[in-house]
Amino acid sequence: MPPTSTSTTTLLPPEAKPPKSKSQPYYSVHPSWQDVVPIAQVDQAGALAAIAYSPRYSEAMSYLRSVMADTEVSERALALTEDLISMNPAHYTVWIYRMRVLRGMWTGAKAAKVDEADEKQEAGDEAGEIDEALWQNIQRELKWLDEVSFRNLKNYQIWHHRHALVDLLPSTPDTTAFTASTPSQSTETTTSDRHKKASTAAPLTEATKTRLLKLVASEQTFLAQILSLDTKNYHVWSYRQWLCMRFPSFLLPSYTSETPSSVAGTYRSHPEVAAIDAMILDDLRNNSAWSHRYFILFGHHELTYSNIHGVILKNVNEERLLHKAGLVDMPLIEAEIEYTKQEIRKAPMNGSSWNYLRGLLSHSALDISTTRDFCEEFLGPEKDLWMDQYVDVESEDSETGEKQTERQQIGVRSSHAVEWLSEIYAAEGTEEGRRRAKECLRSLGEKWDIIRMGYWDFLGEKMEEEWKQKDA
Amino acid sequence: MSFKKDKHARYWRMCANILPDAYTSSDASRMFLGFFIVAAMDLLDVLDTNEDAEVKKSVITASDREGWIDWIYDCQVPDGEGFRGFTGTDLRDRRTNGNRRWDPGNLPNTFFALSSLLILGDDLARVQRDKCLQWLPRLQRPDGSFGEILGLDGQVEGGRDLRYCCCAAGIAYIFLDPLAESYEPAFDEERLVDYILSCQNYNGGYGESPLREPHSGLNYCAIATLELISRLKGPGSDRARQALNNSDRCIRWLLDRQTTVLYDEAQAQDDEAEDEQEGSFAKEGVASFAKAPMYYSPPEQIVGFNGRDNKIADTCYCFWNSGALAILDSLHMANLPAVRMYLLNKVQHLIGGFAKDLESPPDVMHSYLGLAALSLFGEANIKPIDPALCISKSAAANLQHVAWRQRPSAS
Repeated sequence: MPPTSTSTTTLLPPEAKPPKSKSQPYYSVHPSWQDVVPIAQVDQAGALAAIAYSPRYSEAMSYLRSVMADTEVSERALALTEDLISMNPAHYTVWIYRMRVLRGMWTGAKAAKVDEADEKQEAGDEAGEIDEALWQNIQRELKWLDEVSFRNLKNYQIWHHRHALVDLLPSTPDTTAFTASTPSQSTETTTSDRHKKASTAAPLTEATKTRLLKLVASEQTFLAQILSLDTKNYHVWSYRQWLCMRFPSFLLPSYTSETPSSVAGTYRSHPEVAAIDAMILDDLRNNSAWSHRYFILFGHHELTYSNIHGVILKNVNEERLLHKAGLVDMPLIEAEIEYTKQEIRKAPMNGSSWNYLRGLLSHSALDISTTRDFCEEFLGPEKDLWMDQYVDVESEDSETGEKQTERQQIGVRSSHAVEWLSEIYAAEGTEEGRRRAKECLRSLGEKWDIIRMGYWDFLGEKMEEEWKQKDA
Repeated sequence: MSFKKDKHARYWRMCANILPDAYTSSDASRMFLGFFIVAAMDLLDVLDTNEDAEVKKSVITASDREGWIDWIYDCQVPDGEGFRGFTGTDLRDRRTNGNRRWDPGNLPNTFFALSSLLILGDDLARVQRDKCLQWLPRLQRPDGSFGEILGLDGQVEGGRDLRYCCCAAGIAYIFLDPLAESYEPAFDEERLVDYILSCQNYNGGYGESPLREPHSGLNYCAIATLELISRLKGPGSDRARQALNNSDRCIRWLLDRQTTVLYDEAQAQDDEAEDEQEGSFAKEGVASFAKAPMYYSPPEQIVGFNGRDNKIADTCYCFWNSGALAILDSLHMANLPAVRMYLLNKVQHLIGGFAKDLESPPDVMHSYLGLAALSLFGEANIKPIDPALCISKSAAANLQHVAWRQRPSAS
C-alpha cells in the first residue's frame, strides 16, 4: 500500500470516479481521501488461501478498514461501500456498515463519529405513519440495490440488506401471526381461526397503506425482472416468500377475504397467483414456482397455525390439525387438484407437479387412493405395467403449417404414476392389490426407473416384511 | 477415466500457493477456501511427507503447515468470540470496543477454522474455547435457528439458514463431547431440532427455512446437524428418528436427486444460437429434459446428482446427497458406480480438480466435494471421510488429542 505522502503524488481531479481498471490506485491519489490513514491488511508469508488481490481491491479494503474504525458516517464512506461491494459483495460487515451509514445520514447525524446508542430508531411511528423523507430514502436505496442485484445474481447478503430496508417500514396489522422468529408473541393469541388475525400493530392510515401497496407492486415488478434472468434463483424465491409473510393481506390470496368463505372462485386472478401461473406456463418444470405456489395457497396457513398454537410445523401436517379444525379450504384444494392433473398430463414425467399433488393431499388429509383412476391414465389401455411401444403420430405445426412426425409412447408414460399406484394397490390389502403393488415396484427397478433400482428393491422387500408381520 | 490422484494433488498444490483474482468475491470466506485446500490435501494424503514419487511435488512442508496454523489463529478475534472469515476486517491497533462490531467472529468460518486446525493436527490449545462457547448461544434466535454474526447491539445478523445451524452444531461437537456423562448442550438443542424439523417440505427434503423449496445442500445441513447433536443415533434420538422415518420421505427425496440430465438444453440452445460452430465433446450422449426418454437401460449409464427437482446434475450435490444418505445409512441404495462414472468421466478436469458441471472450469469447492463424494464411495487412494463433519475420519480422530481432552477435568 502506497503511503499517503501527498506531497510527491499527483492527485486526481476531485470529480474522478473509481476507475474500472483493477491496477490503478484511486483513494490514495484522490483529493477527498487525503486525510484518511489506510489500515493495510497484514498477511504473514505462508498465509492460507492467499488470493492474488488486484491493487484496486487491496487499496479500497485498506480505506474501508480505516473509515470503519471511525464508524465514519459520510457520503464518501457510502461511496466506498458501493465500490467495495462491486468487488466483494459477500463481505459480511460492509453491508451492515452501509446500513449504519445510511441511517446515520438519514437522521442527520453527520458527525464524523456516531454515538452507538442511537440504534433503535423506529421508521414508522406508533400511528403507522411513514415519514416522507425516510420513504424517499428507502426508495432510493432499493433502486440502487436493484442494479447491484442484477449484477450479482448468486449473492446472499444483498437480500438480507433488502429485508433490512423493507423492515424499516411499518407492518400491516395482520403480520403478527407470521413472525416465525418469535413464537412467544403469538402463542398468547388464543384464536385458532385463520380469518381472525392477531392484530397488535396500529391500524395503517390510508396514505400509508397506499404507499405500502406501491412498494409491494414495485417489488413484484423487480422480482419478475430478476426471475426472468434466473428463474430458479434460490435467494430470490426466499425473499419472495419473506415478502409475502411481511405483507400477507397484499400478497396472499386467501388473506383478501375477511369472511371465512372459500377463495376458490377468485384466487386465480390474484396478482401473486397470476404471476406464478405465468411462470409455470413458461416452464412447467420450475420447481421453485411450484414450491411458492404451495406456500401462497396453503403453506402459510400451516405456518400461522403452527405459530398460534405453538405446534411445530411438521406436526401440523402429520397430525392433520388443519383438517381437524376445519381450516382447509376444500373447494380450493379441489380446484388445485384439477389444475395440477392438467399440468401432469402435459408432462407426465415432471416430478415437480407430482410432488405438488402430494402436498395437496397431505394438506387436505385426502387419501392417495382418490387418485387411482388418474394414475392409471398413464398406464395405457391394458393397464399393462410393462408395455413400452411407440407409435408415430403425424401433426401439423400450428404456426408454420409444416408436417411433423412425433414418436409417442403407448403403454406406461410415467414412472411417478407407477410409484403412486404401488402405494395405492398395496393399501387395498387384497391379494390382487399386493400382487399389483409388487409388480409396480419390480417394473420400476427393472424398466422404468433403473437408476433407482436399489430403492425400488428396498421398498419391495420392506413391503413383503410388513405383510409378513400383518399376516402373522 | 480413472481417478487421477497426481493431477488432483498438483491442482491443490497450485491452489495452496495462491488463488487467482477471481476468488476476490469470496474473500470474506477465505477460511472456507482454506478449509477446502487443507481438507483436500488431507483426503489425498499429501499433507504429510509422502514417499510416493508421483506426488512429491505436491507435498507440503512442515513450515507450510505451521504458517497455515498461525494464519488461522490470526483470524481468531481478540475477544475470543469466534474467528473471522478473512484478515480483511482486522482493524489491528485501531480496534476498540466501539468499532469491534465491524470485525466480528463469523459462525461458519469459525467452524471451518476449527476443522482446519484439527486436520492440520493442531491441538487447539490456542483457541479461546470458553469465550467461544459463551458467544455461540448468543447467535441462536428464539425460533432455534442461528445467524452468522453478531451485529449492532448484539443483534443476530444473517439469514435464517440451515447452513449456520450445521456450523453451530459442528462447533459444539468439536468443543464438547456429546457422549460424555457431564455433557451440557452449548445452546438450546430442542429449539434447534424444532427448527430443523420445520424445514422439511411436503416432498421430504429440507429447505432453508420453513416451507422453502427443498435443496440438497441445506438438506445435508439438516441431517448433519441432527447427527452432530446426537439426534439420529444415541440418547435423545427417538424424536428426530421417528420424524425422519415416518415415511422415509427424505431418503426417497435424496435418491430422487439422481439424474441423467447433465446439461441445460434450453441454455445450450441459446449458446448455439450465438455460436453455431461450437461443438462440445463432453455433451455427447447426454440427455436433457425435453429429449430424455422416460427410462434408460444401458448398464454404463452415467448418473449425476442434482440439488433440486428438475435441475441439472452438479458435482457438489454428489456429496451433499450422498453424505446425507451415508448419515442415514442408506447410501447403498444409490447408483454409486454410475455416479462415480459421472465424477471421473464427465467433471474430473484435465488439470486436476473437479468442475461444477460440463461447462465450467474447476474450482476449490467443487473440487473438494468431488473428492469427498468419491471418498464416500470407497475410492482407492482417497482417505475415508466422516460424512457429518466432511473431513477425513483420521482428522476427526484428532479430536481425541485436543488440549481440553488431555487435561483431567479437575475443575
